[in-house]
Amino acid sequence: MDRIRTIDYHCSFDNSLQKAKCFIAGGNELRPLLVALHTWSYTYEQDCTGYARYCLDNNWNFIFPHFRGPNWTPPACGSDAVVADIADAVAYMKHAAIVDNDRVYLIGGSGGGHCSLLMASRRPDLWTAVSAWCAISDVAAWHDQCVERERGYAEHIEKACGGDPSKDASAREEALKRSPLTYMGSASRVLLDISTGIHDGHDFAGRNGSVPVSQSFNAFNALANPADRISPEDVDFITKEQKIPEKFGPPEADPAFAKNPVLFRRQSNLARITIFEGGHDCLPDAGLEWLARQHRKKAPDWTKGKPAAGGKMELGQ
Amino acid sequence: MKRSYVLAATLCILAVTWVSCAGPAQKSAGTAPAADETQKLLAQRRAAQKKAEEAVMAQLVTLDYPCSFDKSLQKARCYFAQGDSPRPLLVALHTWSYTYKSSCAHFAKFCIEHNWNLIYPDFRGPNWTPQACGSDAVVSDIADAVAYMKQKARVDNTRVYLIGGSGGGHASLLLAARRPDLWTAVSAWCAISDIAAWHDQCLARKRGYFEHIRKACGGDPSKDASAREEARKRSPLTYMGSASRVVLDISTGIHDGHNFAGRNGSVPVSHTLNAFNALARPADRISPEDIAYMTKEQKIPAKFGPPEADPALGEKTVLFRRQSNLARVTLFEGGHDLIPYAGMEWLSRQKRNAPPDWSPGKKAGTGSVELTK
Repeated sequence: MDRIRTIDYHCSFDNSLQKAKCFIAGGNELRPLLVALHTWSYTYEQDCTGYARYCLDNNWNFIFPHFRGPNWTPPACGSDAVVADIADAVAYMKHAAIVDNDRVYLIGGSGGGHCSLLMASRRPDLWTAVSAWCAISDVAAWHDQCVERERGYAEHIEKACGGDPSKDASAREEALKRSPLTYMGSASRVLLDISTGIHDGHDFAGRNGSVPVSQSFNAFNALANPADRISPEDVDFITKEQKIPEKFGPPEADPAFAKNPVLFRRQSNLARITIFEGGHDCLPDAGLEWLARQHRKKAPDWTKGKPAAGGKMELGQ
Repeated sequence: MKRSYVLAATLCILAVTWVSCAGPAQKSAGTAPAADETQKLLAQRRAAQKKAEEAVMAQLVTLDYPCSFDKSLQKARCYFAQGDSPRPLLVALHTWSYTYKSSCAHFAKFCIEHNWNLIYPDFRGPNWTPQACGSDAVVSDIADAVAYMKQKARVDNTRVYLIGGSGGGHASLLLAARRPDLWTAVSAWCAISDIAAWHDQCLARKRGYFEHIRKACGGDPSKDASAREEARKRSPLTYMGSASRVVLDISTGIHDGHNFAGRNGSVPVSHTLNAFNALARPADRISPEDIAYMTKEQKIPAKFGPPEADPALGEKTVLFRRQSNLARVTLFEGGHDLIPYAGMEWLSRQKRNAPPDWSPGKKAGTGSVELTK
């Protein structure tokens, strides 16, 4: 891991230098680029071993940008600065490294999932494929969900949006601008894998999952064919009961999810949703194994993955 | 009176179907054992249709636009949408043996009625020369046509569409794959996806297109390695995977590639099915056995069951339809045909910032197909 360097890179939004952790692949060959995103309350200094280890092992270029740090300030939390910073991180890596333009991937969980969905829709041109885990797709809805469950993220959102989105019109507008759902249709030409644990949004196994699975379902529904969408009733049931309605039947097993079996999976157009046995988790190896099989010049590969050695990242905040 | 007759004829005749002309080998509609009166009425109808087409085509401008491939000026016909708001752009492509001078009245009529921008480029004319037939110059010229229209017209960048049939379907698939960044959606009809395979098929059916291919590729692709490489480079299938991020509708008539209804369809439906397969999920692909059956027997295997009807296809019944990822294939009751209204109506519903709309279309003449103004 000592091969991971901290850099400052140029950000066009405000002509500033922003921090990132980064690894430049060795050799003179074109290599894939992975952009990985930190979670809600963190910075580029968060432990990114789950992603970085894969890149070191597979000689991928890697960048883990700061994108304005914790999501409790106006410049962070899905702002235009965030979108520009992540795009600039790609530009920086294409300049500094020998990047295979057909294999540019994005991954993130929780707040990083929020940002992954946002980037999939606001800059679909950048990515070969995007893997978003236990993501927040609607900031205003999440605010209310956090208020109800007495989670402090509601205050973060109020700070970022300059008020309470459930009461204040300008804060609501801010929350809208910072929500992937607002732009989701624009991600329809990006390969997008959306995954979350069924128990997220609930107290489960000693952890307090913060993001209801409806946030993932709604993102998928915005991209799916009408016949493939999950009905509001089913989304409610799954979100509330932490169970998959029996009518859906068992999904095909995916060895990449061995320790967290797939409970529900659906693909439509270029999007897929996977609900697995788990909570507010990102399974980096499952995500990266899927990303690694995607290529801009090939039809998407939705086949089941290979067994992964790695574990899961339990995402606290 | 005369003018309203012309308009009525435009609406009635042009909107229905277009027998796509795939070259000089096109046959006339057969000899009808009709009375003099019938002949007279048919002649009148043909004359009215011709007049209607001319009236539409007269509204287009012919121009030269800069082509970066060899810094040349190439010809195109264009229509510029009225008003100051951004409007969709349609790039329509001529068929195998033709040029920008051939009639694109069906496309033009739709664009004029809906206030869309249109460009109908030459892209190096008939496909019997090395610089035509899916060459790098063709790819570049069509991309330059888009760039030109974006510069000269107010183009809605979320709605840039490509359509073509036969040789134009070949170039549509090729551009979908080689320049996927340019298009919101692409509609390819009775397309050629594999030039070397088509060469052999034309040879077997004694269709002159095989000679065109030899001229374009500098030899017989079935015998000469360098000609085979040329054919590969000019074949959409070579690049098809790259079209996987484009919303792509591929359609053809089940009888194409056969003598049917007095016409000699030139492109076997396997070309269309193979293009779809290259973009579909493994479970959604049509098996080689089913492709062989459909191509040969002009029938859909019974196991597939009846597809949902699509009123936009008018009198042409959908026989088989499948969608996977961002591609859809449709086989309809017909031959080597492009159904302009069905293609345009579907295109008009696609937007870059929305998921693809695969729902059945509206029947022609049942109101505007515009979703947004």
